[in-house]
Amino acid sequence: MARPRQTSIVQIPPRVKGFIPFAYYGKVREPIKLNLEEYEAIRLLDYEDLSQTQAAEFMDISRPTLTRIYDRARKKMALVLTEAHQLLIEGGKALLEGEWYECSKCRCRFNNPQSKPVAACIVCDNPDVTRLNSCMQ
Amino acid sequence: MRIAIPVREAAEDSGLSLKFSRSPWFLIIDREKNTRETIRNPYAEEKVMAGSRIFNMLINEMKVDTFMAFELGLKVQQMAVKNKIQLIITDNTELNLKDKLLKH
Repeated sequence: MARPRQTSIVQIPPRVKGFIPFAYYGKVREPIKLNLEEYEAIRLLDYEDLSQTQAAEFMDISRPTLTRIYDRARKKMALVLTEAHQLLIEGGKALLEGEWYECSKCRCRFNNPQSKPVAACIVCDNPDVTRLNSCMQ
Repeated sequence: MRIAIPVREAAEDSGLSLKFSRSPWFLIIDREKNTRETIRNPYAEEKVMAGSRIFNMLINEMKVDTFMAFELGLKVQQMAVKNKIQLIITDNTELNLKDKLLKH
C-alpha cells in the first residue's frame, strides 16, 4: 500500500501558474505538473537557501518527507529543461498559510490576516477576486 | 490603512524595489488621510538582521499595517503573519498601482 502523503504548508502562492518553453519548434509535449509542495521545496531550499531541516519546519513536514518531495521536484525540473515540456504549477497536498486571494483586474495577491469577509480587491476595489486556497488544492 | 511599499528611488515615479528589506527607500501611503511620504531605509546596507530591523521600524515607528511587495523574505513574511499584517504581492514593478491606492 502506498504511503499516505502528508499535507505541507506553502507560505505564499506561486507568482505564475506555469511556464512554456521558449524557441522550441517541435511537437508540443504533455505538460509536467509540479505540485505546490514541490514548488515550495525548491523555493525554500534553492531560492531561500534553507537547510532541509529548516525547510521541513516551514512546511510542517518531516525532513525525510521533504527530501522525497525535493527529489521528485528535481526530476520533474530535469524533464522540463531537457525535453522542453511545459510546466504547470498546481495540485498536490499542500495548504497555503492563511487565506489568499487574487484580483482578476490588477492581479495583486493579498492575504486576509483578520479573517474578515473579502468582498473586493483591497487595491483596486474590483469585486472579482478568487480565493487561491480553494483553487490550488 | 497605512501601506509600506519598497521603492528604488525617492522620486514620485519610482518603481517597485524587488527586495523588501534591502530596498533603499519606502513609500508610505496613508489611505485614510490620502497622503504619501518617502522614507529612507537605514538598514538597506546592513549585513545581518536587516529584515527584522526594518520590520520593527515600519510597524512601531511608521505605524504601518500593510506591506505591498514583489517578494518578501522569509523572516519578514513570518513576522508579518505573526503580527497579522496585511500582505499584498504584486507583479507590477512600475507601480502605477500606487495611484489606485491613493484614489481609493
